[in-house]
Amino acid sequence: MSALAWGVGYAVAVVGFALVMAWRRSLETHAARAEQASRPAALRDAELVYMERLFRISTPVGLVAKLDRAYRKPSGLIVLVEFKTRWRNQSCLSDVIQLSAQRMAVVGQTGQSVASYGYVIVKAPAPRALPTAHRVKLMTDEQVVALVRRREEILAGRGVLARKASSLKTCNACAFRADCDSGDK
Amino acid sequence: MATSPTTSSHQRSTREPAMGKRSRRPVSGRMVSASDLAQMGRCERLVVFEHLHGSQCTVRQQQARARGLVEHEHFYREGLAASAQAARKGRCFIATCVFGEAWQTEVLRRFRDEALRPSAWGRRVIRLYYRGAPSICVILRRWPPLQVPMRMLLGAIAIGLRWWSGLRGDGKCRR
Repeated sequence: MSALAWGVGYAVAVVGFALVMAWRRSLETHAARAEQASRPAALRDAELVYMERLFRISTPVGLVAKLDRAYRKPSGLIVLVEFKTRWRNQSCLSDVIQLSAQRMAVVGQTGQSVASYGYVIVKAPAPRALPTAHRVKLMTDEQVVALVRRREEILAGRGVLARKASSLKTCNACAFRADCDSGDK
Repeated sequence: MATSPTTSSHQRSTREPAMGKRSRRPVSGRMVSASDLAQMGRCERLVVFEHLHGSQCTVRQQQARARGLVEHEHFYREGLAASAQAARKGRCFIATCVFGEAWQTEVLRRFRDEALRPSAWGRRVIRLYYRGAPSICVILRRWPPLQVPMRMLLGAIAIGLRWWSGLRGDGKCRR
């Protein structure tokens, strides 16, 4: 009797373990399919090579960049992808700057060839929203360096005028709005 | 600078506490992160204020940031699952099978990516290799003694490639 109970218990445990493994595998498959679906069409046959990976360079400027994803196309070219959650389904200048800095860091650290374009995957912050990929042209290394220098000059207060946001929405949502307005008066 | 660092008490009271104080050390020669640089495209004045007062968020921005982190985590997990599945299907086969993650595997991988991939014939070779390699791996796993000559052969090729890359002077294959 006790042997039978042990046998049944063992069988239940094995079946339970198999079910849990199958459930995990199905979740993984679902996630992998979602990843395939979120890819831009041009990256269908590309290999996902980097995820959440940090790259840094110290020359010509000190840059540290964390990639969301990078794919390697069959030609060997690396294409960078940045993920954004926002209601507005479009890419912004800040996305382009971020991807361009990432590109410079990857090229500087690894010496691999990285595409002069990248993708911004925008997803609305809603549970059933589908991500959309936007192809963007990246800035050149010279432009990135110039931007870093400009930032340094603005922060050091060397007489470079800091520009206001071009979008009124950005201003309205800003925590420093009152300070910014009082600075204008 | 066009902006004033003064802060009204009313505005302070409506803000959430600082998310993280930034250093006021001189900025030249310091590392800048890609996301900090991206702020320049959003608003340059915000960059100045955040430098002076630290990053501050409204409640709405904090909620959006939290939502974004959740979505980001989800995005990362999807990528992880996809690469796990790709690894199960197998991508870089025989060298990993006989050496594991060793310098030889790295050298051969670099040769594949830097010497073969850029040309059309090289890509054809890679395709052929991908077609045949999984079955070779199955055989190697079933009869482990066969791994010895394969290890010797690939090891010799890896040493040759490393020497060749040293001759070229790029030294990329050296560890």
